[in-house]
Amino acid sequence: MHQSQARGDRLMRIRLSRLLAALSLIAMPLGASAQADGTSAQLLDHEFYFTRGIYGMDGGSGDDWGPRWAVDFPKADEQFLVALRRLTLVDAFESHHALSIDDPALRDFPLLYMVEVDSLSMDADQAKSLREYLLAGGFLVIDDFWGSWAWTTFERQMRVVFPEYRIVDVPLDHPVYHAFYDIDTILQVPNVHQASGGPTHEFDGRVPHVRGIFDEHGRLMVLINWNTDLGDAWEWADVPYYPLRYSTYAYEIGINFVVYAMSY
Amino acid sequence: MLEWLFKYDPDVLWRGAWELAWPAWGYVLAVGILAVMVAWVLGYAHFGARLGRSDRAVLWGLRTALLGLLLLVLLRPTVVVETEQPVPGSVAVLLDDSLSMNLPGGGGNTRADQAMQDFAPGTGRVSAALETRYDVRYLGFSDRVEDLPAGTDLSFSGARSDLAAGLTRLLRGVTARPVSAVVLVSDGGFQSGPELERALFEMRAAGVAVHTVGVGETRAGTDLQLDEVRLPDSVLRGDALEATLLLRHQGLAGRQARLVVEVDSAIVHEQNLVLPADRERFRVSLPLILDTPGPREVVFRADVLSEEIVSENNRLQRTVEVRDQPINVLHFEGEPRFEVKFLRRAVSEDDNIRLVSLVRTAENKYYRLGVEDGSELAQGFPSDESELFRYDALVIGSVEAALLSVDQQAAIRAFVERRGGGVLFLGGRHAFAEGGHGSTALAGVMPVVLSTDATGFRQQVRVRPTPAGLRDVLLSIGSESGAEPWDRLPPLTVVNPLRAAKPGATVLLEGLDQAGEPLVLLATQRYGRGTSAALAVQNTWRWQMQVDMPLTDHTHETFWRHLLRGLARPAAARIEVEAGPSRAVPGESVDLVVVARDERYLPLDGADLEATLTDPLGRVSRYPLVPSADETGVYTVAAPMNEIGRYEWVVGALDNSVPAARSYVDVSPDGDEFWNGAFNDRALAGIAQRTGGRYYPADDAGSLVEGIDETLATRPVRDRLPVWDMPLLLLLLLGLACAEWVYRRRCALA
Repeated sequence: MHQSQARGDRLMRIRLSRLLAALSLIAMPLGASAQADGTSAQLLDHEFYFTRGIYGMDGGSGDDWGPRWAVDFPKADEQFLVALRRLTLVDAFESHHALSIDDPALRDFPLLYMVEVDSLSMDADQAKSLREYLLAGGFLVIDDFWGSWAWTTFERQMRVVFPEYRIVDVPLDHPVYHAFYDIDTILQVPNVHQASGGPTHEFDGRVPHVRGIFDEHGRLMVLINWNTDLGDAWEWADVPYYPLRYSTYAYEIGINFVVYAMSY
Repeated sequence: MLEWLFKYDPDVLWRGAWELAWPAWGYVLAVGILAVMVAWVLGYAHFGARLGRSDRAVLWGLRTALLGLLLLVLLRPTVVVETEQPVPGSVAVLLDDSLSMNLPGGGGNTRADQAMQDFAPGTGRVSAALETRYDVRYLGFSDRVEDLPAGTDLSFSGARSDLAAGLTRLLRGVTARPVSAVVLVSDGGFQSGPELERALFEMRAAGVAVHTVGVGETRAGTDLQLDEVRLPDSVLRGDALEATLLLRHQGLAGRQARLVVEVDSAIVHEQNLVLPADRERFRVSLPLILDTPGPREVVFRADVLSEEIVSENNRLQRTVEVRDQPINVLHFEGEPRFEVKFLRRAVSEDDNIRLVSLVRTAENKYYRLGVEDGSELAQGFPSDESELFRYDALVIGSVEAALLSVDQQAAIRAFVERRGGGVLFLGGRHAFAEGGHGSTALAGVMPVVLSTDATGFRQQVRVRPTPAGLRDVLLSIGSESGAEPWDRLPPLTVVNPLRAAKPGATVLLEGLDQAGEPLVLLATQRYGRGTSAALAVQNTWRWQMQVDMPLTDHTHETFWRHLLRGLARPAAARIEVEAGPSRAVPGESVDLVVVARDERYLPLDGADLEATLTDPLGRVSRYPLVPSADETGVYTVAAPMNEIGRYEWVVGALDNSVPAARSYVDVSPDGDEFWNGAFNDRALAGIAQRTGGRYYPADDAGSLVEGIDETLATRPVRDRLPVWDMPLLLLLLLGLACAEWVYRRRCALA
């Protein structure tokens, strides 16, 4: 009874967040203005925009709860930005910001955040667009996908994008763990439903991993948080029952990602 | 007639000062005569009854005048006059014995032929005439000065025309008779410089005129000459360099010439140019990148055109040291910015740039990237000069003025001014006036004029090179020339509207705001020994990221690599050396000047330095360095260079605490002869004019002898001219005596 009540509450919150996401997209407060000289360049008011990647809007990626790209959107993003702005000197736009992964405007935002990528299904043009974005210097952070089936699906998509590069574990001595906070352990951050006790994993994703794709110069282009859900920790950090341990870790490593992405 | 009467020219007597030889007995005589005259008067008074008053007066006057004149003669009057008289001495003939005398001199003869026809010692046409009137001495001058006895043949093989040495030999040499006049026979291709200036000044002061005889074709000889190349002695491997070549030509206006640059015998650049108007010295800038470490032989040559009279001067060679030690660049940001990431990416493939980034990520938290160890920048941005001076260039990004202490700002200023480093101020929301820098010490370092207040300006601006920017190798961002590569670049964000550069600065990039008003986007200026630059954009990374920039485009990387290397290039080393001249002839002594500095780049006295010289045969010699008496931190040494080829000076600290400095000297048997090979009648005429001599073309050398007579040196002489025996006085004495006798007869007294 208690579990079904909790699940109902969670579903309610998820539906609510996705409704808000859809509404947010309609009135995206980009904080940018069009350029008057006809260059079509965006004039951005801030250095950093936490940009969420939109995919699957053709209906192929979603369920009753809405599009999978928008899980935890926009509350997770905005709460993360509160912490980022509070704890660092990053000149970050304070609100959510989402763009399609093949939108040319994405090139103004060198950090891209994507979730639930087991639902990612890119056509050739989208894969090419994402590849060029990353090779040009963009940085992709993947979050919130669980288990071997999700990994296989995602890995297949990444092989389309980067057939020449392997996905490897990012060792703990890598600068991404030390760019702002020193992180010496990779935690599995559970979703809000599983955070209150019991197993923290979903499906067979028992062990959290931070993996990456490096280019031939050793530059980290894609950072993959597998079997963990940083976004939920950001989103639910303000509720009393979400463990501080997880939310602290999620904010710390999230801030590290941003500082790293702006430095390397 | 007058001159016979007065014995001398009356003008001389008039201008001269009269003196009397006035011995002691003259006074006794005068008193005696006075007594006689009194007696005389009394005598006339005795005869007063027989003569009237007027007769007595006439007779007394005549007798008195006669005695007075006699007294004057006895006192031996003289006239002192000052006259200019020729200085007794000899005539010296200086014959140019250098290689360039083998060049055509006109009429099918060489310059040497022309010279020897007229001035061969003892046998030349003009020299024979000179010898009939003067004591003539002959000297040959080139890279040596030799006396030439009669009948001597000259070799015309000297690698230099050291006229100063020839003149100095005449001035200082011990001779039986001083030199009264000099005859210089040359094509005018001698070395100029302070030594020649000094010798000419001394000639002038000694009153010795230098008559010059020009041998060579008076009409312009057709020739193209590579005068000089301006290229750093030492460069960083991979630097985008601009070699400036100075050329001149005669008679080839409008002709096309091909310039070639070779590095170690491999052609690296070719360029055609159309030669401008005659006699103009013009410059050509040639791009050059040296990628192989070590001493590199760089040759600049122009194809020899068929009409040219000298082919040897179409080629110049320089030895350049290519260093393979990275420059150290410190990029300081007051907040995290994507510019940090993309700047690091841009230079990551350049092994010769070590980029250290210091980013303030939180109020009291700094993130260090690219440091060598945990101690580097452990205390944040350096306040200590010796720590800051480890870097060669600084990039100061979005850093508000309050973040830099007074000491740190002073250190940045000294970094540029004294250490010779480069500093680039990068645009950002906390940069320039927007960061409160308008009233700081750093505003004085910046090459742009800052407003005192923030403006709230934020616009996207297209970046365009100025004419100066198009010429600057720093901005060569692609294979295409001109502004075209810049036109396709995405616009950048400007939040620091800089409207004017300082008077001494050069604007390289500019843009227009939405009102059409110009913006300074990149300006540079020399500041002290270093370079200061301002790049007033905040996101050059758009040139890397934008979707219309293909992945194969390297504009962003090239721009930053060139800019950082260019900023660091003037940065002085702790030890600097300069050999002079860098091109010598065998046997020439070459000076080496060494400047040593301490960690704060202040002149270092008592430095433990060692200088070694490696000759072309690989033999190594060690030389002690002598501290300069005039300047602290400066040491000198000189060494003769006898072998043909490249000599290498290496100066390093005995404890190897700082990298050694190198300098190269190319020794060539030709020296500079063919670079001064053109007949230079203007130089010869100038020397004659400055010393009081005359210039004679070879065709007119015969009139030289008369010319020397007229211009021989003179000196002031005081002459005492005796006038007691002038005929006029004798006639006056006789006339007075006769007049008295006649008058006395008329008065019936005789």
